[in-house]
Amino acid sequence: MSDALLVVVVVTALAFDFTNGFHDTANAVAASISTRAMPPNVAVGFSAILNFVGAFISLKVATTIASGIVSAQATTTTVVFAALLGAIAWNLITWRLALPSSSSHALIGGLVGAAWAAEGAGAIKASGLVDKVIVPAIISPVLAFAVAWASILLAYRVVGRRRPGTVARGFRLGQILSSGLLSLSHGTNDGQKTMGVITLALVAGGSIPANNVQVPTWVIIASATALGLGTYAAGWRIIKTTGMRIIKMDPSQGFAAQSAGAAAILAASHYGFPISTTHVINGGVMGAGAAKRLSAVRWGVAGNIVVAWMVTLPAAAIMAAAIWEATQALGGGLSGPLVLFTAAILTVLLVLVRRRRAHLVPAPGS
Amino acid sequence: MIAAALTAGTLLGVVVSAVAAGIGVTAAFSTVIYCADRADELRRERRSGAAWAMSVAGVLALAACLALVVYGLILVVSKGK
Repeated sequence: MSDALLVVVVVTALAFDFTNGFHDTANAVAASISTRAMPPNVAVGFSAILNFVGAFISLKVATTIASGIVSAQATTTTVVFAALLGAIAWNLITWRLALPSSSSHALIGGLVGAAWAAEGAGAIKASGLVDKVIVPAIISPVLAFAVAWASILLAYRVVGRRRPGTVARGFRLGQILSSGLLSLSHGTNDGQKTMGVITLALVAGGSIPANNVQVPTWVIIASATALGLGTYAAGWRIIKTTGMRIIKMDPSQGFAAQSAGAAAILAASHYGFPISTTHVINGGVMGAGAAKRLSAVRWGVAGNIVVAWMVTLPAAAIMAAAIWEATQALGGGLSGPLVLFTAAILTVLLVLVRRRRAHLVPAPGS
Repeated sequence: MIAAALTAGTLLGVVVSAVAAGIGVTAAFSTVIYCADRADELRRERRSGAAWAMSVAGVLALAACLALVVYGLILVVSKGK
């Protein structure tokens, strides 16, 4: 593998990490912002720092994301590139639609789609996909929903007759703790994905010996920085959906949702059960709302979110497969990924310039 | 997303731990708020003995809550070992 292709894959992986950060900011801060436990900029900065720190905690990377789902032979550098670009595209689409979907599922979908396109259906381990993606995707939001639902009923029973001001202040303080715990565990979980992808590329390129895989320090720092910066950039559209559009949240509901989410994530981590932070937090928010009364949940918004969860894996897979086919049509090797990488950067720049113009040019009649 | 083989035991462990920790931390923190507010009320009623007892109960509930959070942090940190 050429050094240029390695650089393309590393930069694409860091770009994915950045989108992962801003897409998932909502998971840790939406409830805190919605209930005014923290001012928005403070909440986002706090989460960014803890995501950055969390990424340094765990280095269990090398086999991570594709292990048991896609065969090792199929995970070539071009497949990883196509998977990353497909996952980035899906993250950007769901961000634009303000839908909190799972970045992990987007990356897994990308790997599945690209590997399928490259090696055929035989490259996919269906049982791994069921065990590590589909079953957890069904169980985790339901579990968080149930825990948040039971927790908030208990909380209302304990503090229901106390002074509302004191109760709200107390739970807002508690939300700082639960939000911090969520950010830290998110950094630990999601920082690993990019480190794993870059490390795999370095092993494939011969920069790291395959028999003694050590994650280079620059990979850890670069991944943690990309995740932290992405979190700080903050996907405000998704923060609004999770924090304000599913339910109108009070501080006790915010605390219950965040605590349920943190408990589910940590329990799952402890048992090595792969769950998405996005699924548990949004499940928790829905549970905290439904406990008050079922009509407190905007089920239309919740339904759209669940549909996005179901579509994420196949959609990212289709995009990654198309990207892999495009790399081959453009000549494979370095040229295909390089052309697509350049096209992706130009597209992002074009969108940024158009957005800037839209801000600068006043609307007709204004 | 580091995965272990999916078994009924794993699933049961995740469910029981998440339910116990999630409900436990909310119950403990709600108790802290209840005790703080009630202690304040008792102090204003000049029932200092009862207020003191309520404050101690609040501190114990806070300690339980913090212990659960610290345990969570240990779980996060120990994943990297």
